Amino acid sequence: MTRTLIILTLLSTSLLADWSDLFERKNGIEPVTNAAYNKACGDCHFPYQPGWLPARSWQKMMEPKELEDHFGDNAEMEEEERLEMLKFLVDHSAETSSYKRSKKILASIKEAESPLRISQTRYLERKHEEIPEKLIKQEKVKSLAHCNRCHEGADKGNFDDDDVVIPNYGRWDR
Amino acid sequence: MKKLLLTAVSAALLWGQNPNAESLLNEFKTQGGGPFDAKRGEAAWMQENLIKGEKMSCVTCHGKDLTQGGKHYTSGEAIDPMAPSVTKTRFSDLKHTRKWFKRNCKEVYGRECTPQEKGDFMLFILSK
Repeated sequence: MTRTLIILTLLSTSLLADWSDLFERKNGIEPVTNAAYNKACGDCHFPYQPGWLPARSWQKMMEPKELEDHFGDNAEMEEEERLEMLKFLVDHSAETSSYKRSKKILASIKEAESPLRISQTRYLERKHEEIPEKLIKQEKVKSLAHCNRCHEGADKGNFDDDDVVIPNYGRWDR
Repeated sequence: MKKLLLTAVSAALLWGQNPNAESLLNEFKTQGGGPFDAKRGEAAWMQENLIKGEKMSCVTCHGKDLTQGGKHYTSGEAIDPMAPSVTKTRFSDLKHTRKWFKRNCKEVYGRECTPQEKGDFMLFILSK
C-alpha cells in the first residue's frame, strides 16, 4: 500500500512538473535544440528561433542568391547544408507552432508579405516602441536584431519583459 | 639537405597539432597551389580592397594581431582569435574552413581566392 502510494505520488508529481513546464514554455517561443542550426547561424548572429517567421519568409531568405547577400553579408552555404537548414526552419516555422509569440507575430504579418527582418514586423515594432532609440542604437546593442544583448533568456525562447536587462540602463521595469 | 630537413621539422612543428590543416594544404596543392608562403599570406591579410564603396581587408573584422579576438565590422559580434595557438579548434572542421574561405574572400576580395592565396593565408595563420 505504502509503496503504491509512493509510486502514485511520484507519478503525479512528474506529470504535474511536465505540464507546468509545457505551460511555461508555450508562453514564449519554441527553443532551438538543433545543434547544427545553432552552429550554422549562431556563428554570426543570435540563432533566431524558426517560430519567429512564417515558412514563406524562411524559404525566401534561404534562396542561394539571397544568402549571398544576407543583410549585407555573404552567408552562402553548400547545398547540403542549405537544404538541411531550410528544412529545419520550415518544419518549425511560426505556422507550425503553438507558442504564444509565434501566433502573435504571425497575426501581425500580412499574408501577401514575406518579411525577412523579424525586428521590422509590426509585432516586434509594437513590443519595442517604448524603448528609447538611444538605448537600442548604443554600441552594446546596435539594433533590435541582437535579441540576446538585452533578453537574458533569449536562447531558451523566453522573451518576457521581466527578463530584460538593457546595457547602460539595467532591468527594464515599468 | 639540411635546409630541407629544417623545413620539414618546422612544417611538422607548425602542423603537428593540425593534421587537418595539412590535408587542406595538400588539397590546395592538388588544385595547383604551392609552394605556400606565410609572408605573402600576411601581406594579403593586410591588403585593402574597395568593395561596395568600403575599404575591406581581413583586418577589418579579424584585426592585425591574430592572437587577439576580432569583431564583425557591422554587427559587432565577437570573433574568436584566428591563431591556432589560442583557438585550438582552428582547422578542426574543414567544411567550416572551406565555407568561410569562400564567404570571406568574396567579401574582402570580391571573388573567390585561388588555391595559392588560400594556402598562403593558411601558413600565415598557422604561424601564429
